[in-house]
Amino acid sequence: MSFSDKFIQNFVEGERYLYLLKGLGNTLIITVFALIIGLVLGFLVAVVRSLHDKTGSLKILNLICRAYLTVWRGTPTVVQVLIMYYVIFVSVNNKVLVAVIAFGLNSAAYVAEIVRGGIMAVNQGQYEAGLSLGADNTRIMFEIIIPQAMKACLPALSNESITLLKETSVSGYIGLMDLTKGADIIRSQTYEAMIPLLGCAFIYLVLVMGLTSLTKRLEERLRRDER
Amino acid sequence: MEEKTLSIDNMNGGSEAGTGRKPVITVNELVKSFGNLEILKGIHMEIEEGSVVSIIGPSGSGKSTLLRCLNALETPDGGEIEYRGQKLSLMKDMTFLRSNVGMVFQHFNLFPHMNVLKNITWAPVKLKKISKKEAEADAMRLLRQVGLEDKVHAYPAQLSGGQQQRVAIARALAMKPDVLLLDEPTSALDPEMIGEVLNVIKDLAGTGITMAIVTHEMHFAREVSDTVFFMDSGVIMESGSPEDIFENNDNPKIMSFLRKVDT
Ligand SMILES: Nc1ncnc2c1ncn2[C@@H]1O[C@H](COP(=O)(O)OP(=O)(O)OP(=O)(O)O)[C@@H](O)[C@H]1O
Ligand SMILES: [Mg+2]
Repeated sequence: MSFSDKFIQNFVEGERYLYLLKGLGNTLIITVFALIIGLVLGFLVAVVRSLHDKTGSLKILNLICRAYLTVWRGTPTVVQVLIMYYVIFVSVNNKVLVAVIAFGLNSAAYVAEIVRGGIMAVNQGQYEAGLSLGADNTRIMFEIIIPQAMKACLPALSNESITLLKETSVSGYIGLMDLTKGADIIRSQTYEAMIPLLGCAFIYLVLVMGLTSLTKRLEERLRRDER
Repeated sequence: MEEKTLSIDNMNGGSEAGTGRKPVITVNELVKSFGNLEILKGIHMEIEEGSVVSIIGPSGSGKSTLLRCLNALETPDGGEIEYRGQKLSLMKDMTFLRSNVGMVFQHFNLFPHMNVLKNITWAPVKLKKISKKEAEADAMRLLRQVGLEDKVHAYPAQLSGGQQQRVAIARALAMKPDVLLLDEPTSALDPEMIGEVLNVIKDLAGTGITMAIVTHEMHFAREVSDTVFFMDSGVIMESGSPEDIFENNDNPKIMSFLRKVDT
């Protein structure tokens, strides 16, 4: 069979391209919403941890955050997704929703450490300048430190979003049809591995390249603002 | 604001007499340690309203630490500091103190993500709730005062060290502080930029604002100060008028220090 015949067999016959399309849709939904949860929650955790480091306040919240980070960074993503689906959200049937929460919580743990690193990298003098004008810790954190920290950790956050996108490919473990699972279903129907799997890999690659150029442009714009 | 200008004028008038000025800051038995190392070993000091004091002394003698205690960037381990009769140790929130006691840092510490105008207006608008328009008018006046009106929209990274320090002074002044603390404001500058910053500070000294300056610029200290404090190993070894310290003094420690810095 020629390549084009194989292509037609795998993607066109029986409208098999729909597996990829629906899978891609789920992959994007999970990635985008998990990323939002990851950024918001990770950001808050980082602020709690940093305010605690700087001022000794927020003791209990800080302990909760630390426990969360230890557990989520210390266990495999697949295991977390399985536990979320089969143990914690047993009664929830919406697999995409469970995946969003599982990946969101997972990503937040990494985002938190990235943002905290960025916050720590901001010169202590910035903090003192804010204090010496009469500002309080929280205001300094949000208006002085974090805007500078975000710029510093944008590359790492962009990396994290790429990692997240690729990690959602384990969604098949809970029987959710994401892009990877879609390709695998085609493979099981046509007994042809190369075409659907390479096709799936190609789509991931395009997505990652898109994400990369998007964040590059964002970084450049932020840099331009300061010169 | 109006009242403040008036009172500054009054202070200037009063300073001619030179007596009976109220202390703005009083320091008693101040002790501060870092770990096991005692850095300040019982400091006594008074800063009178409208006076300019400079703190000189060898590196590591605790000058910065003392200054940073005055606006509570460091917390003392013993003794007491009073700001206009209020004990710092009893203040539960330092923001009031700090909005009245401004600080200029050796390394400027301008906010790099804000332009010059925003650097200056940020605190008055956010902390004093002054309208943006009024704060900007104030900022323009201050920029004129430090000779940088044309840099209003520049970002700190686009300015020279001397220009950044002048903006930092304007930023501190925008809060209309009662006292201004300056910690070696020219030490991080290239030699050719020191003069422009010292001139701004000299002009400022003439307006009647209360200032405490840590400096290694002895000619400047002599010219601008009402009182000079000489610090050594965590104590104020001697204090007095510039003449007392720079001319009529026979303390061997001070004389050797002055010989070393006055090249
Ligand atoms: N946060 C800190 N932790 C530990 N030690 C400190 C800290 N800050 C200052 N010190 C130490 O305290 C001593 C006095 O420091 P300080 O900065 O007050 O001296 P200084 O008189 O301002 O010196 P310089 O003229 O070099 O600026 C130094 O030995 C310094 O190493
Ligand atoms: Mg110092």
